[in-house]
Amino acid sequence: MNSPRLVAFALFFSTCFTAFAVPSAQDLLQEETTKLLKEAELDPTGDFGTAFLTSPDWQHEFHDSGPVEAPAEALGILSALWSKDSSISSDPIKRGMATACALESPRRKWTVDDVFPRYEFFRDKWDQGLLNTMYADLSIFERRYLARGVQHTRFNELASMHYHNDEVCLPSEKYTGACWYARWILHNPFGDSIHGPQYYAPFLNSWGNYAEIVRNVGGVCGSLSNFGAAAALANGIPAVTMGEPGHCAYAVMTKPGHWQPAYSLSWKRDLHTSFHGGSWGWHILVTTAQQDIKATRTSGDIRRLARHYAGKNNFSKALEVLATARQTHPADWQNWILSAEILEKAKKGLSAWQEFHQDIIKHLAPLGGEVAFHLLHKKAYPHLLPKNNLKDSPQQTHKIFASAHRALTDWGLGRWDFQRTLKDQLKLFGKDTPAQDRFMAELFSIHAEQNVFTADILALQLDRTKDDEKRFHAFISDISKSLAKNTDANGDQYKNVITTLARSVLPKAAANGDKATFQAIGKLTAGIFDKSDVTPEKFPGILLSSGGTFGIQKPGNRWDNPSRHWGVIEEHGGDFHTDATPATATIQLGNYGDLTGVVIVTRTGQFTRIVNAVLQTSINGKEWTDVHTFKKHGRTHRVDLRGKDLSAGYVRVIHEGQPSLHFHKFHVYGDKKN
Amino acid sequence: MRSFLPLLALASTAVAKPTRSLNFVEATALAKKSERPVAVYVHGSSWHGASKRFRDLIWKKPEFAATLTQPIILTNIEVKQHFDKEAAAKHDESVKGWKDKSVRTYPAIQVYGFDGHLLTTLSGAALRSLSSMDALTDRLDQLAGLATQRRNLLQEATAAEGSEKLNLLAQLADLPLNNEPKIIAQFKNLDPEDKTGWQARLSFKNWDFVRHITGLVNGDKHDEALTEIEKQLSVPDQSPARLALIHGAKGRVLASQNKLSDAWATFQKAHQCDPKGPNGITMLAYGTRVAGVPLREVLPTDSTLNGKDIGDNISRDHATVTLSSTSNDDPTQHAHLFNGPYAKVGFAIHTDAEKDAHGIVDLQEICQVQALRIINRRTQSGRAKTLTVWTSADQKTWQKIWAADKAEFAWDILLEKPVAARYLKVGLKSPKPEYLSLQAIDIFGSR
Repeated sequence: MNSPRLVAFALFFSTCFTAFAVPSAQDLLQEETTKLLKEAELDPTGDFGTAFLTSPDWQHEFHDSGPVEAPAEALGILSALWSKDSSISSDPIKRGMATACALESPRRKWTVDDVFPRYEFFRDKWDQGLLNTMYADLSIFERRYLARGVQHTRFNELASMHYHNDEVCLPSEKYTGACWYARWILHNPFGDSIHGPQYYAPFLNSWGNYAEIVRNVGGVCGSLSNFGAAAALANGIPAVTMGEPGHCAYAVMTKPGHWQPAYSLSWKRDLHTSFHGGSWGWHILVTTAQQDIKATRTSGDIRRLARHYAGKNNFSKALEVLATARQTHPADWQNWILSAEILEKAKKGLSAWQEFHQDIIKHLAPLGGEVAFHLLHKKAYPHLLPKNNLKDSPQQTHKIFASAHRALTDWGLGRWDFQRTLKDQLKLFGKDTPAQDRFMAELFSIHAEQNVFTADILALQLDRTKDDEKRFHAFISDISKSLAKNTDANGDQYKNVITTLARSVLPKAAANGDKATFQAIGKLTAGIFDKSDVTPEKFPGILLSSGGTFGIQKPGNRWDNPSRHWGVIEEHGGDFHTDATPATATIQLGNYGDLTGVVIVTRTGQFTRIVNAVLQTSINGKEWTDVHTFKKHGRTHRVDLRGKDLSAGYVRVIHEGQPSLHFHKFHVYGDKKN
Repeated sequence: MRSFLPLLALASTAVAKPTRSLNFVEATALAKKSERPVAVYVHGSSWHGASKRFRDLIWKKPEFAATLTQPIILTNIEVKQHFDKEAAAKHDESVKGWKDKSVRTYPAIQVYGFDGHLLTTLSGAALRSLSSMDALTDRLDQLAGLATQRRNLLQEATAAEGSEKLNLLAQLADLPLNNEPKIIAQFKNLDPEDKTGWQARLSFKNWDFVRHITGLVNGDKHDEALTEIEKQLSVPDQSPARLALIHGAKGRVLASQNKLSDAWATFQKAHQCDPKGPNGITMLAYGTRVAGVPLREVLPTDSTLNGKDIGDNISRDHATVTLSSTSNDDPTQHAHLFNGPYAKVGFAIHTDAEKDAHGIVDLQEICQVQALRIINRRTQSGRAKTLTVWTSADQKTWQKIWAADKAEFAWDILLEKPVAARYLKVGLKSPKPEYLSLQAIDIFGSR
């Protein structure tokens, strides 16, 4: 009885047996299906209706595999697919793919004639052994990614899918590199930019399909990411393209339940196939909720029971049932939304909303602050915050917000736009700037221990006070109390706070590849450390390392001050000191690019330590290629990489023979290719 | 010498049959020792059903090896999915010397020379076409024969000097296998002036050559671009696909110099070199846009008149135009209305704002008019939303033959049946005074 799922079952069945008028989960499923068949103008006693109604598995697959848009239309498509291939009902893999195709059709505005060839592609390729074996075990929800295809729809044409299936068939984890099958190139051979209509135009009849055209002609991030994702899909591996600021990336389900971002430059991702919300956090929430098929079915059963009660105006019972769903299946967003809908429909009072609020804090916030705050702002806060003159009761607003913030211990499902949440909350204080500033300081205090969100609070407050240095320093003075206890009250508090923060945040941000945090805090350190006065000759292109992250093994060792790491990859200069073998200093570049050269300025002394260190490059930060071995000692090293055709997202120096490397500058130059 | 090599290769088959080897490292060592090629089946049978089927039903079958006639070593590499670090390291050790990036899709068959040089990779659709035992053995025998031929040529070239060595290297370069490492440098030593053209052929960078020419054009170095193109055209035995690129690059230069007639002829030549290949098709498509369409020699690919029986362009070399008013018009632009590139100002004719603004096109004689293509001005296209066409034999009686539904970038007008006319009035039926300004009028039919 300890398992949440068992609790849910117990509640469900106890409800069924104690309230005699309540149908079983099976009856409710049949009822929902029958109603939908009628809505879709399908005969429940006809061939399809009978096949569908006699298969509870199939009904669960249809109803409980993520949100269903235009359910009657989707069921109509499923019926039409079944008419074309009645073996769908007897083969779970075919049934799953057909159901996924039907569920995605209304979202794509597809008719059965549009979607049937796509279903056939997967059916036939699987029969021929031409899909990855992971395909067999995909849930219907995961198949929806295959059914839907990628953002650039020409990759979804059958000819392109056949091409990808033939020519880019790889182990699942290798699809994160499939984007590089096409060359990154901004202008076609005639000089036409990819941002105009003529880039691909002369090539459209030159090869048999769009995927082959892109592979031969090239493209930039959008084409390349769509190419990589489409290649995975055509081989039966779920994948999705996603927008990032000024960039396009993609993600691949490289293992069951594991989604790996590819060609990604930022955590700010907007997925092109999304359910409920488009961010990475939402993606992980929905895919997590759908991981355990039995649990999704139980969760669906509970919702059907709640709707049954609500349909009979027994809202209290409906909410009681949903409270269990929220506790046992917190990742299932539909439980939260249905709860809010019934609370609103039942016009429930403050205590019911407070209970809902508590559930969000207790069960949803630990999963992910983004979704929790989304729900709080959209549904809970309008019922909980003081109705009028929020600015007159800031203390109560503080208290309500703070209770949610205290529930956050980490990023949860994935990095999210915490600053946006803060901005939404600040708006609720009206124009009361002192109250807003106090709130920001209090938040800093709440989050100081975990030190996960402090960088965002600091960055936002820096932006809010950029024209009022006094206000910012007052803020820093306030938050310094939440930081290092040994802050010298007579010294430079600001400098101490920044140093303390940077020491702690920069290594974590570098380890997580979190450029935004690394840069936000790093830039603050520029004002407290002197610039390096050594400026060797640069290589052509831009400083690709700028805007990235930088990390070493054992940061903060007795010789290393991580608060000075940011400057190492920037024009400003900084320093670091490794203390582990192999000595490793790694840059995640600010921009992917074609490298032209690397400049290193070591510290003044122990010049020989760099000898036999190796410069390596990598596209993904995992597979490294040696490009240069340092043979000479000296303070300044310039490694010319021109003509070597090196594309990279990461650059590192590694020394297998000794533990100490110490640079003031580690600069990578080249032409960016985001 | 060359004619004897296949015989030598065949002779060796009488004494050596295929050998199976357990792994790649062992196979390549054996290849070196026995001077035989290696065929490696690289597959992911644990995660790809078709790879497993191919391995079990063909590659592993004793009759497959028995059917091969050439002395080749057979081995395989299995690439697993979801490798952990330890397993990956173990796998890497077992395939030391093999580069996984040389395989772009699975499964694949790679053929290596006795010296470990990768001669070719069969994969994707190319391998699928060989998924019967007969087809595969034929192809592998052929490749093994080529590998033997290559080995013999390499050995002879090592011993030879001067022109004999050059001849042997040329035969080596001509083999349908991956290029030999450093072969360009060897040619450079033996043939510094590249009289054989091999250095140029082997170092030709295909589409990057076109890209390079575009760079010169953008840098206003047209003469340098043409010189490089002529140099490439003078290289003997260029393949049709390359000739298409070189001629296309020339067309690109000529078009940029506004020599559209010459450019169009050159693009067509490029297409003729490689009519079914991607290079030829691309060059024709590009040439159509930058030269053929502006010259009114060809319709743009998106024209609905393509493929229709519309006759010839009967306006291009004959028609004149007279406008209803001229105070906003520049007659020097009229030439662009029927012929040559579109006017840079965005329109070739421009009336005043007036009721029934129009231009009268004179075809100089009664013609059978079957179709028209009218190009609107680039900006202010909405002015032409009431565009209408009338025909007349005498400018007295006018017959309306078409009217626009809305403003468009271009109108493709196919008449239901040919209309006999000398004059066409192209004008507006706007309820209020409006300007008529158009870029081009092409009239099709017969004289």
